[in-house]
Amino acid sequence: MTRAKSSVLWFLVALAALVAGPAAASAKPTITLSGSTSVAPLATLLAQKYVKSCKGCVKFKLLQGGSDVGIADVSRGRVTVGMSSRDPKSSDPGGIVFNRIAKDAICLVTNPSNGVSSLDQNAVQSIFGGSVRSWSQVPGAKQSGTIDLFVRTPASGTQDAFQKIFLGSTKVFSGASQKASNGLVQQAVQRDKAGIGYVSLAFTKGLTKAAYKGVPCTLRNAKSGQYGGVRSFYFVTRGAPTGAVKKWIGWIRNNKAALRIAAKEWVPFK
Amino acid sequence: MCLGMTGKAQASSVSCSGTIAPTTEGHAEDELVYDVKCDEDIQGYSITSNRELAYFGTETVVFGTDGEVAEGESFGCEGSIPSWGIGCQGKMSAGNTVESSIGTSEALCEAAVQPKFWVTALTTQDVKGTPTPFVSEPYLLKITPCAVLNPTKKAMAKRDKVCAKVASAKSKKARTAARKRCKAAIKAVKKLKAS
Repeated sequence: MTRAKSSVLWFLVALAALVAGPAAASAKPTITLSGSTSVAPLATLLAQKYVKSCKGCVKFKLLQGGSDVGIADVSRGRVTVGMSSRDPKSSDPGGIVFNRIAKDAICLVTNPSNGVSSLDQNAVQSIFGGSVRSWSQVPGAKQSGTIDLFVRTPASGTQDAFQKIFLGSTKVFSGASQKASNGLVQQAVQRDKAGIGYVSLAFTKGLTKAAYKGVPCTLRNAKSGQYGGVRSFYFVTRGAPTGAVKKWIGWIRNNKAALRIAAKEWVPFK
Repeated sequence: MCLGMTGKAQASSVSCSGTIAPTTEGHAEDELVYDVKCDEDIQGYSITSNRELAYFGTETVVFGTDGEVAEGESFGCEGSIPSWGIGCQGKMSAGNTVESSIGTSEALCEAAVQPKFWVTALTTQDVKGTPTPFVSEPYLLKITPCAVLNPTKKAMAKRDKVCAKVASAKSKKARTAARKRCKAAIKAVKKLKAS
């Protein structure tokens, strides 16, 4: 998109701001964020609560694009915070700092009519690696046809975390359908009886979650550390965080209200 | 900048409609769920309001005319917190319905005027063989009006008035009655603030 379409939408929003009132023209610090579509839902909730609790001390501007986009944006100084749902990589630009803010469970999901209850690592690698292509080869599956794989695009932190945690050195089957967000994978698997994919725990509504290595993908199991498919959420900054960003990250990590927000669908910092 | 943009972003024939209503099922404070439907394919939309917004759903769900999730159709939403509007980019076919949520900075009815929310859609139309972005006019989303505007402010004024009568009551009986009314008014304010 899409910068052209985006700019048209931003023009509309800016026009509305001008019409709505002069409050928009304030000199408060603005924290701009871009990146992970998995981190974005948590970031908006944390931003809302923080603005209220500090009585409007700061303003946020939230964009998305995927973890790689957020990391690239923050390293170039285009945003103050890059949202990442993957760990740092050696190929990342220098001078950036990954500040962990929470953890999140990646769940293996199938269509409710299929209802695969559990998959071990070998089964996950066989299915997503493409060596097992039929549901009849998967124990517990109610479907029998070809497996439709839904994975995330390469810029996604969820894709990177899934590769690292679940697949190891196994490469994703080239015939897998790539989706740009958790929501699109969720929708695809909801519509496709032969579909399987993986999403952030917050996006599992309407799907059947398969246990991984015998442990169900639940918030409780993610918090206790029993569930193996857990990855970290980061706010990436250029250098150590300073000023308003430092205060916000400190608030996220220590404030009870912030920890309560994170605990609703994610594993809080502590 | 405005002149330059308006040259590209013209009104189009697309019509949209939708509803918005408070919800208690979401995770955000003062959250509202909205749905929008348009009579042409759209590639984006913005929601604007006369209420300050402090939250928005970052991903939407699009439902087809059969009520099922429309595969491959979705929007990613971006914007500022707080702000007076958000922008969402993606795609939705004509007749389908997009659903998501936003949140206001204050409780919906804590203002002097009724809440209003508008949707403006972005479409692409063929102009002499060139795909050209077109922007619709703003369409008002249907909302149930607030029965009482500024309920907390009004309750606080009532509390102050009622509680002032405790000190000015001339008899013991009148003072007891005023105290009772004062306590009820204080409780009502607390309840409104908590909600």
